[in-house]
Amino acid sequence: MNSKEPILKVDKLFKSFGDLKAVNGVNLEIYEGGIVSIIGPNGAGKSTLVNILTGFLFPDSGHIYFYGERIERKSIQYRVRKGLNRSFQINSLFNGMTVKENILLGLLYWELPLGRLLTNRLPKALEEKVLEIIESINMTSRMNIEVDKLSHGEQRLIEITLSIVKPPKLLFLDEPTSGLSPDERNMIMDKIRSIAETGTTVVLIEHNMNVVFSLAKRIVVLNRGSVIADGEPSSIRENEEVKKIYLGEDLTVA
Amino acid sequence: MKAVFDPFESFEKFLVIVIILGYFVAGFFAHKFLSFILIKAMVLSIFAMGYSILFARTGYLSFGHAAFFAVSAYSAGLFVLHIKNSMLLALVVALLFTLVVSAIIGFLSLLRSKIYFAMLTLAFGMGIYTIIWEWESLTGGDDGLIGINRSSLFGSISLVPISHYYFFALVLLILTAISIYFIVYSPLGLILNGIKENETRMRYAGFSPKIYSFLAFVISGLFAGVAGYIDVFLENSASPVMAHWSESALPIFAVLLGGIESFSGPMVGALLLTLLITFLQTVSSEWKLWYGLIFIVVILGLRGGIVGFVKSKLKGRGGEQ
Repeated sequence: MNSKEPILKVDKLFKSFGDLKAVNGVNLEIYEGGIVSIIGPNGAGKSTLVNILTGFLFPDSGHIYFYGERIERKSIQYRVRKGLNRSFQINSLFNGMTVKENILLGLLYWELPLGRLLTNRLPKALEEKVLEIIESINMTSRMNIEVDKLSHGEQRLIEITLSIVKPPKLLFLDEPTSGLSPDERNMIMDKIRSIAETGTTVVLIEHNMNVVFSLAKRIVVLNRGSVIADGEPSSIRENEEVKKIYLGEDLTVA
Repeated sequence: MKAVFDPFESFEKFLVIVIILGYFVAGFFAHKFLSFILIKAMVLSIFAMGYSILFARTGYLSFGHAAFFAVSAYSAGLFVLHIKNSMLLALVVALLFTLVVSAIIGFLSLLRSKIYFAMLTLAFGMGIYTIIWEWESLTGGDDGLIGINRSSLFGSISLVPISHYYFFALVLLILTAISIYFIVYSPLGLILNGIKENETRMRYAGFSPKIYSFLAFVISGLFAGVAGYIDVFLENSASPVMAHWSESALPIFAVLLGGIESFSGPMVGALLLTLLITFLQTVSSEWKLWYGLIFIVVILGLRGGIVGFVKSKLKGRGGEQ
């Protein structure tokens, strides 16, 4: 599987906040296709790592290569345009705007010719695409409701949808099932599977081991800012160091 | 904050049309003083509508827009005093200068985050104020420019009588309202709203928010310029006070009074604010105290401004609290 070039290569990445070494020399390679999960206890540096990889934070040192190009000092939007996107752990939508407007804003950059910036009427193809996406997440009847009036699970669905309206090559999902009910969690898991099936490589940062072991083909374990294990789910389950970290949490149930 | 799909869009349009019709009708009956006041209201309307693109739509608070008002007023004044007595050319020159100055100040003010933005616009605006104040040989210093008289348009339409100038100002107000309408209810308006709501998410949607914020800044600067241009020929003079940061508070208050989230808000707010200030000034020597108190009441008690208040009443019990 590793004969190909990685699409994302992380080389000795460091990031500190004061005395806290949040990311402490991470090396990581992500290959095209499938779902990779990054797990680790609270404070392991998972979110910081995602924030650095997607441009929300800059690293103190180290390199990030995306399809061979160094991107660690590039802006968020630069990376997004190259095909690297993310969802947020805490829903980060356009609150106060409707479902339709949220989806439309997600699409505008990609689908609206600059010359139509001031048109009073949207191009028909764009309008149809917006409705199609809303339909695909079963929100047609509620598309004119402001997103902050939706349930937590529905907001999460829109959160993820916003990150894939323009299908990225590589997608980071930051704790996509946190705070959801079991039903909502299943819905999001189906969504993640379908994203991976359409050819987007998914990196799943996740707390819930059931979710991780049922979705991921490869698991990377982070602890105190460093990668301590990396491999197939079965080998991670047996890893002594991982077991020690997750003492009390049963890795075998999944 | 529904830029493209506002269900109240027609109500907002209706309000604006009613006010413009009101101005139009009043133009035939108003005596000199009332005409003067109503033109002042139109000046503030144009200023506030343009300002709302930056402030209400994009979420950037600028204390420097009075400087663009003044740059336009001074360049128009200097042009007709020293170069050519043409009001039309003066408008072009005034807007060109405003464009250049607002582009430079906008670019520099947007270099840092939102927190610094307000302070930077304040500093640059006061810089312009100081330049106008100190460059006496050009600007007349604290005396300002005087004798900036109106002439005629295309050599035939005299704008000298205030009753004629009134309709000229009204035409500019209508053009402004149409422009602002097209911006607010367009994808650009939605993008600006997106920046206000969640700038980071806009980046993850592929946008470079700074470019659009800059665009909003320059657009609002230009309309401040249109307002300054009308004002200088109304007053027949320009004074450094025009550039003072406290003058930038006027469009802010007009927008808040009318309703920050509504299209008609700035126009409603500007008219009411102008009438209010005129009224307070005639009845009380402590008018600024009353003005301040009303400001506080509106900010604390009338969150959506007057238009927002009316809308929520129209929405009935199903509306939000």
